[in-house]
This record gives sequence, C-alpha cells and structure tokens, in this order.
Amino acid sequence: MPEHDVEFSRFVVDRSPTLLRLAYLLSADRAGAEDILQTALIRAYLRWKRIATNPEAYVRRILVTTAVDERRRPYRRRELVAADVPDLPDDAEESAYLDSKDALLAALRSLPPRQRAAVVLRHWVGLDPAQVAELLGCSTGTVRSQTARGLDKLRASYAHPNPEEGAVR
Amino acid sequence: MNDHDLLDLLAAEAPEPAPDHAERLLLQARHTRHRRRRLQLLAGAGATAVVALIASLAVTNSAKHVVSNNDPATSPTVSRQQTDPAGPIPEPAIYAVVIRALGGEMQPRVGHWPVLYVVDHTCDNVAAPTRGKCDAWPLSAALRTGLDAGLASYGPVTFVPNTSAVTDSHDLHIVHGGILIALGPVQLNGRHAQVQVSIVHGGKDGRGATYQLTGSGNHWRITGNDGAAWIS
Repeated sequence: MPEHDVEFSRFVVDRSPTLLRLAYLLSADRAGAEDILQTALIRAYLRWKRIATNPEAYVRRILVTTAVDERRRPYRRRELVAADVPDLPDDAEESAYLDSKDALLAALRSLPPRQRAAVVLRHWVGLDPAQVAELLGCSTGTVRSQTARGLDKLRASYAHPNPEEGAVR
Repeated sequence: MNDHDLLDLLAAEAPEPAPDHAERLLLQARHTRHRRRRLQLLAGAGATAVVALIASLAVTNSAKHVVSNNDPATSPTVSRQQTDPAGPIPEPAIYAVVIRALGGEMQPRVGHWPVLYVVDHTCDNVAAPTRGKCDAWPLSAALRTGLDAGLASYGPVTFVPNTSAVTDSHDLHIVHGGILIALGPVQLNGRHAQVQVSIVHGGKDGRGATYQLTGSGNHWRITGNDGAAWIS
C-alpha cells in the first residue's frame, strides 16, 4: 500500500470517532453526520499531499462548511415516521434524564446551523472566537453573540426539559 | 454542568465508526480519485477533438479559399495546419519518453523496432511481474493518436487487446520482431509525473520499471526511476 494510503488510513482510524462526534454536533443528525464526514474524508484523501501536515484542520473546515450550508448537505434526515409509539420507561429518574437529553438534542436541532456551529466549535472543540470567526467567515463579535444565544437555549432546555415550562423558545 | 459537558452529553449520542470504516473509505476514496482522473483525461480528449475539428474546418475553408482564388502560393498544407495531437494532454509525451528509455535499456542499439504493440488499456503495477487491476476502459482516441505521433520514429504503433494476441505460444517471442508495451496510469502532480511501463521482446527478454518525470505539455524528462522491478 502506498505511504499516502497508509497515512490516510491511520488518520481515519485514529480520528474518525472524534470527527464523527463533531459532525454529529454540527448537524444534529446521526445519518447526516456520517454523510458529511465521509464527504470530508474523501476530499481530504484527494488533497492529502497538500494537507498532510494538518489534515484534521482541513477536515474540520469541510465539516463546518458543509454543515452550515444547507445546499451542500448531501441530504437531510430529520425525523422518522413510526407506526407505533415506543414503550416509555418506567423509572422516573431515568425518564427525567432521557427527557433532558431529548430536550437538549431538540434544542440543538432548533438552533440555526451557523449558531450551532459557533457553539460547538467554541465550547466543545475549544477554539477561540477568532478561530471560529475565521472558520465561519464572520466577525468575532458575531461569534460571541451567536454563541451566547445558542448556549442560553441549550441550558434552558436542559434545565426545563418540558417545553410547556417555557424552556425551548 | 458546564457548557462543554452539556455538549459532551450530546456528543455521546453520536454513532461510532464501523470497524471496517477506514478500509471502506479508502476504497471509496481511491475510486473517486480514479474516476476524477478518467474524467480529466476524457475532458482532455474532448478538447483535443474540438481543436482537431476546428483545425480541419480551417484547412477545409482555406483549401476552398485557395481553389476559388486559384493562388498556389497561399495554399496551406495539411501538415502546417494540423495541431499537435498530443498537445492538450501530457500522457502521450510522458509515455513516449519512458518507452524509449526502457527500450533503450533493453536494446541500446535498436533505434527503430519493426512494430510496437501497445496494450490498449492501462493496468496498475505493470512494472511488477504480476499486473494489478486493469482499466476496463481502453486508451482514449487522443492518447492513441498522441502515442502514434510520439513514437513514429521509434516504430509503428499497433494497439492490441492483450498480451497473448501477439505472443508466440511456442517460444514466447513477440511476433514480427516487435516489442509488447504495457502502460500503467500516469500519476500527475502539477509538473511532476510518475508512471510504470513494461516492455517484452521475448520469453527471456523483458523488463518493467517505474519512472519519475518533470515537465509540462509535450516536454518531459526523466528525473529518476526505481530501477527495473523485473527483468526477464
């Protein structure tokens, strides 16, 4: 196997779990996350010689670009229609935890793509506002305001999982 | 719970990569690269065809003009009007250089062969004794024309579908005193290229090698090779 392919395979094996989590947070969609990561990694392979010094930054940039630009998303899968309602858990504490997580996910999905990307890049990846601004093509002030609004929604949804309590606006 | 933990809670819901994720992705990436190169080649061939068509139209129009004017002094000749068929795509020039180089290593005193049989599709690892996966598509018309022109002084080119078509089944010599040439795909990276080629003259007279070249358009020179991968 050529050295280029060996390096690429090693990168995919080592970094895919983290990159898939990032793709999931950016898209708030399991299937969509796999799609955009696959697209990003194939593009990385095609430019490997030029990006080999820091392939992760390149892949991250493609993930962000694809996730925030609705037109570039391979396709969108939001909800599955099911004939039967799944069984509800009996345990009240477990149920509350699941409610919180579901509400959190719903809140993440409800954020506009760029706001979601700002929150994830700033507070999960740990980039500074200037780096996030560069990736999103906006000012640091916009990053700060978008991040603050997005986080407010997420915190509220986790604290008050029931929408009737006014958590998710 | 801080903001990172909040997002971590969601990140934990992300799917895990499949165990064979890397292998499948590598296969798909290679396929994509291969398909892109083929499209680029086809685009080059299309451009060549358009240029050739325009050139032939220009010749026809000029000839008509000459006939109507009856002025032999301004009559264009076909050779002057024709564009270089190898112009838009670099592959013919690259192949011509490495074929001459490897042929020269095998038979330094032979400057012209009775016939050059060229396998009409590329295969991976032609420099190795056992070939890799072969291209399902034959060499493009532009590439064939370019090879014809580029190797004209080295011998007449005939394209063959496989090695057995021109290999004598008794002594394994190539028929009509010719050589059989198998080409690997050209790997282009800007002004640099790498390509594999093998040449067989007989059962114990052949070799394969990988060459590195530098250049552009129709001007390429060999900058290195990995030595003969096999010599028979």
